[in-house]
Amino acid sequence: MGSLGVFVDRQVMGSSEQLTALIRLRDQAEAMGHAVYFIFPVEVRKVARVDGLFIRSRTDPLHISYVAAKLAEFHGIPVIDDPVSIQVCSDKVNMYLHLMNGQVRVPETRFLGKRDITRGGAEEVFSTLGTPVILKEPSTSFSLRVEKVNSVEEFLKVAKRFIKLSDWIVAQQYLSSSYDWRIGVLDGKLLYAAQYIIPSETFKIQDTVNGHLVYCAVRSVPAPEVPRPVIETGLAAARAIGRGLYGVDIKECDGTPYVIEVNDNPSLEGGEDQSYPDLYRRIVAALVGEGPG
Amino acid sequence: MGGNPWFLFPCGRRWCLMNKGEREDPFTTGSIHLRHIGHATYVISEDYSFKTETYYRIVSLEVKGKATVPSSRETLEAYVVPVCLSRAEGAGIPVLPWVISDRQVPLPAILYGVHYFADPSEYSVVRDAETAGRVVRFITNGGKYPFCYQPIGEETGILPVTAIFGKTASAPDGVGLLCAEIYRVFHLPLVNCIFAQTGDRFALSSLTPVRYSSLAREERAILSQVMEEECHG
Repeated sequence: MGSLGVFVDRQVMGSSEQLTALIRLRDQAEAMGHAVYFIFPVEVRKVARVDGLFIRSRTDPLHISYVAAKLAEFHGIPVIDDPVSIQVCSDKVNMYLHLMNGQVRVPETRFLGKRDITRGGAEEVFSTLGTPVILKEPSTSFSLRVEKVNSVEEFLKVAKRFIKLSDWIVAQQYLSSSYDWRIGVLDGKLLYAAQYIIPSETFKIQDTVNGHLVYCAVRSVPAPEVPRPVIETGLAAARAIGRGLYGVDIKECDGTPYVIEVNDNPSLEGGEDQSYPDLYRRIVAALVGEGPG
Repeated sequence: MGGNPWFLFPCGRRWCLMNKGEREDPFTTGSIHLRHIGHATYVISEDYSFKTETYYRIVSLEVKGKATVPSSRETLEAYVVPVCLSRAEGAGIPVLPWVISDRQVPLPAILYGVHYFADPSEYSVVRDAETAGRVVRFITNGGKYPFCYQPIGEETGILPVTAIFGKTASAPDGVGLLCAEIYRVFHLPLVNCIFAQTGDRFALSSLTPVRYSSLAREERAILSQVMEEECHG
């Protein structure tokens, strides 16, 4: 019997969907004969006492979740998400550099510094990436600080806001689609596949429209129904980052898959596992083994 | 990324990459100095924080398979206080005990933010409840994030020491050796080591960025000398 630590915070525990997913994970681990302990930020040192650590809290190299991941690494404890995955995936610049270096197809991408945030710089970006352009602040998560700009004026307004938070920002070709594929990958293998159906009011999988949060609908799709190139692209993108748990977002354009981003700490609470009943078992097994259960 | 501010110049038997204007005043605010030594690129900068120009230069080199000193991993380990102290402690460097809290803090203590908006160069020494409450509200963004505190004694003082490739200009006995050890672990060419001093004992509290403008004449001399030595290999 092993002990699985699940690092959470009050935001996660305050969400009924996430809490339900955590309970299912706990039930699965216990059914496999493992004990499960929820570890909160103020108890982060308890990470050293478990046999495997699953982080279910917003990840960022400057957040307490990174401390948890590093403590696990220092103690030789298997951890999802591992510190390198957090470092790479929580930073869009680093993530796209890894993807491009790994020959993974992404939308046309430029990295912009302070010197590029000028009228001339904006015109150059539009002339190479087309209109509209997507601007991303590197630490974006849940589609925050991802904006579509249609003019030089909009570009300058958004880019100036983002460049205050990061010395480099991302400008990207806009690809339109009514849904994104989400390919879940664990240790280099397909874990699940789903379609994230983008709300008609926005181009993002989550957004605030007229003061109201709108979310994408999630449709779990059995592997045989997923186009092979989409799965292969998802696996290639994950490989370019590491061996952890990733949710790879892919848009198909004229039948060609493009990786929009690779998420560490991918959401599991939206019904992604509906066609993949062994999803939680595989995660638990990766961290603490199959157990006696 | 705009115009290229770098050029090659002859340096001993090698070529070094230098920033334009470096010959007049090599250490201008924000300047980044790259030195290629052996198989590694040494990156000398004031600030190695996450998402800075320096950080992205390092990441860009790493992704191309080039070894850098420091690595991006080391910069994060150095500037995230609980990670820094865990790493340093594991290497045998004396460190202050640290605790993550969301509200309570015993006094006196040194406080650090641990979140996306936390500035690695900011720390607060709190000795009374009113100040502690105000600082905690600030560094937790009104209770939204946890924070890190380090309990200290009433007699404990703070000693910031600038280390340049692990060398110091005027550190007390023993501290120089600790700075050399800190460089061996984190490889930050330029760093402020914040020590807690209690009597003749020193314990590391954090590592923070250094402004070139804050360097004393002796420290600038060390930096120039070390860079020259490194260049001549």
